[in-house]
Amino acid sequence: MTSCDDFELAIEMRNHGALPRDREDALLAHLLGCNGCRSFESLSTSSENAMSAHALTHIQSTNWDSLFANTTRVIQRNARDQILRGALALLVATVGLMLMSHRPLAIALIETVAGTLVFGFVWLLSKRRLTKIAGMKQQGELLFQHRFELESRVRGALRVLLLPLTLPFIYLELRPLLVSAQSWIGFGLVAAAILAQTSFVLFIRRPALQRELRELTSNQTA
Amino acid sequence: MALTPLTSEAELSLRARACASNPSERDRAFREIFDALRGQVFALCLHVTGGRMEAEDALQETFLSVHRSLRDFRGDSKLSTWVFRIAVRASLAVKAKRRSHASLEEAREIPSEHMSPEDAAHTEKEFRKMRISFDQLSMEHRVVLSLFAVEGLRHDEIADVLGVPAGTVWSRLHLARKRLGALSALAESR
Repeated sequence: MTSCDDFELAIEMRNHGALPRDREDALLAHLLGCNGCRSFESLSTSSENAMSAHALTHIQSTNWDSLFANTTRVIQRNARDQILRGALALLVATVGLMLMSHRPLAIALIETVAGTLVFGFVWLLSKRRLTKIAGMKQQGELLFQHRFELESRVRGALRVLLLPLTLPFIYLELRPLLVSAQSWIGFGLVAAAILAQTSFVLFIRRPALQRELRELTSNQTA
Repeated sequence: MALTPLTSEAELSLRARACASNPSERDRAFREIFDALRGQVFALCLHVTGGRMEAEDALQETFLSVHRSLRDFRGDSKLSTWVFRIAVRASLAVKAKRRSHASLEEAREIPSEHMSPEDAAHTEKEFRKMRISFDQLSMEHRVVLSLFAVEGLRHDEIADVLGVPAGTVWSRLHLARKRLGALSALAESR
C-alpha cells in the first residue's frame, strides 16, 4: 500500500472484515498521519451506519405477516388471471367457431387459429422474458434489459395510432352483439372505445414511459 | 435484524421442496425462503429505492419473481445470491417508476419507536443529509453502496450478485464512497 487510494480501499476492506491482519498495522500507522484518509474513514463509517440504522428501524416496524399475505394474494391473483386469460382465449376460439355459420369456413378458422396463437405467443413471450431475467448475472445486463424494455414500450405505444384503422373490422366483428336495429349506435360505441384507448395510451401511458426512460438515462449517465 | 443465514444444505432442501408436487409443501418452502431472506432483501430494496412504500413494492416484486421462477432456477449460484439479484432489478424498476422526490419526502418519516428521541433525531438528520447526495449517484454506485450496507452480506456474495470479480467490487465501492463524499461536501458548501 503506497497511495491514499490504496489505504482508502483498505479502510473499506477492514470495515467489512476482509483486510488481512498483516495490512492492518500499516493502515493504522498511515491513519495517524493522514487527515484525508481519516475523513474518508469517518465518511465510510457514518454513511454506512446511517443507512443500516435507517433500514433497521424500518425492518423492526414492518408487519411481515401482512407483507407475506399480500404477496401470496398477488400470486393467487396471478394464477386466477392465467385461468381468465385461458378462458378468454377459449372464448375467442368459440366466437370464431360461432361465426362459421355466418362466414366462409376458411375465414372463421383463420380467426380461431389466430386468436389462440396470439394468446399462446404472449404467454410464451412473458415466460421466456421472466426466465431470461432470472438467469441474468450482470447488473449491466439487468439495466440494459430494463432500458430496452422501456424503449420498446415507448415505441410500441405509437402503434396505438393503428387502432382507428381497425374500426370497421372490429365493428363488423361485434355487430351481432351490438344494437342491430340502429347500427350507428354500435359503430359509435366501438369508435368511442377506440378513441378512449388511443387517448389513454398517447396522453397518459406514453408520457409516463418517456419520463421513466429519461430518469433511467439520467441516472445511468450521472 | 434477525438473520437466519441459509446453509448450502438448507438451500438444497428448500429448492427441492419448492419444486415438490405437493402444493402445501411448496408453500411452506416458499414461506421459509421469505422468512430467511426478508430482512436483507427489504434493507437492500430500501437502500436502492429510498422509500418504505417503494421498498415494500420491490420486496413483493422480488418474491413474486422468486415464486414464479423457482422451478427454473438452475442452481449455478446460491439461492440467496439469486434472490438478491432479482431484488436489485426489482428495486431499480420500482425506483425508475416513482419520482425521486417522493422518496425524499418519505425519508423524513423514520419510525422512532425503537430508539430514544435524541438517537432517532440524530439518525434522521444524518440519514437525510446523506440520502440527498446518495440519490445523485449513478445506479451502479447506489447499488454497490446499498449491497454493502445490508447486514450479513459478504463481499464475495456481493461480487456474485453483481457478476464481477471481488477486486472490482472493492474498487467500485471505493469510487462510490468517494463520489458520495464529494457530493456531500458540495451540498454542505452550498
